[in-house]
Amino acid sequence: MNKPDDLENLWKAQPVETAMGGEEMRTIVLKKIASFDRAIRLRNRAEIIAALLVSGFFVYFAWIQRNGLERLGSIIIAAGAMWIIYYIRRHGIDSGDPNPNQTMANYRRALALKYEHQIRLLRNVKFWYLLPLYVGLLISSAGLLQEHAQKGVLSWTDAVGPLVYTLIFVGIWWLNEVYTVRKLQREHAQVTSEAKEETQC
Amino acid sequence: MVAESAIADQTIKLNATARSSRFCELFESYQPGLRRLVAAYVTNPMDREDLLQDIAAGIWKSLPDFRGDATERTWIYRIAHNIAIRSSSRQRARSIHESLIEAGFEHPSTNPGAEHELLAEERRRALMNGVRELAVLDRQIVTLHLEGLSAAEIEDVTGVSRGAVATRLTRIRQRLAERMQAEGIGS
Repeated sequence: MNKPDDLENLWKAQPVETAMGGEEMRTIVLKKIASFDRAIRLRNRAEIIAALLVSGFFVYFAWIQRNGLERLGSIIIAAGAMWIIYYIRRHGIDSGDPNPNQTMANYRRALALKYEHQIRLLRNVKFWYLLPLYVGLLISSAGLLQEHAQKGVLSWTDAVGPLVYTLIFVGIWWLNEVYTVRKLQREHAQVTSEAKEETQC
Repeated sequence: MVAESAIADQTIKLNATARSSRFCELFESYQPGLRRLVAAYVTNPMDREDLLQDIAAGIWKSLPDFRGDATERTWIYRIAHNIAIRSSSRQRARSIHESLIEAGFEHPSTNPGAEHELLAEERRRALMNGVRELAVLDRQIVTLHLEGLSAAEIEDVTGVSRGAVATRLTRIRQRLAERMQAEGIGS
């Protein structure tokens, strides 16, 4: 099996792209790794800053509010933003790829587990991401409606805000739980079908 | 204290230098094989270059952990195939719509040996297309085999027992030969 035969010679005669020097590839690789790390760092920082800004804004809003419901809603949103950032950090939605230095069978299993983890998290996005913010917004909106009703200025335009954020939340839900989960399920199915093929050997 | 720190810095620098030169050495000697491996997974030249860079990054990152438990080439091909698995699971939807026709196909010249060269080119192309059409595991086994790895080494890379590797290889080789015969370019 180790003796080169016609097929092996033919394979090794395949035309390949122009060879690149090791030093040149090392430079490219280091740049790629650095830019990937930088992107992750920036994303993490942006997530924390966004959560702090949202929390800070709603804490302030709760502080200046007189209406109890609006105050409660704002506090829930502020706490929800902090909870989301904690949840993302704790469960690491975008954790790195499995270590490639293992047999392909083990790598596929690790990859399948990673997909399952991501799918599970995204399927629950309505509970850990959308629900705290949505409940907070609903309570806040109820407070606003109550205030307008007391002042006798209640109109149909009061429904615009809740309608807009409901549509946005439905969009976020669809993007995560439907679109992205389907995409990940396709990738997971491919990896598991290949793993199944291996176990049949 | 200062001297100790200077020694530690020196060691780190030496390690970094050793890692760099080891990487360059490995990449240069395995580059042709890695490029063929990449071509068996993706047809688009830009995707091929991207995948090759991802594999090189995987080798660079794993280099400090290489303890010599496996041979150098089984270690390299293990990393390369695993990264290709990841990449191909992401790119599959796009790749299946791609033509199997190689980019950069050169038109036959009018040299006296042109006919012979054209036939060789067609055989190489038929082999590559045949390999690409195989199920992923078969493709991995046959590319490792065609790169000259033994059944034991293929077992080390894939985790498939050497007996199963031998059985599969017989079937795959037969299938590839039939494909080439059907195109009228068999050996």
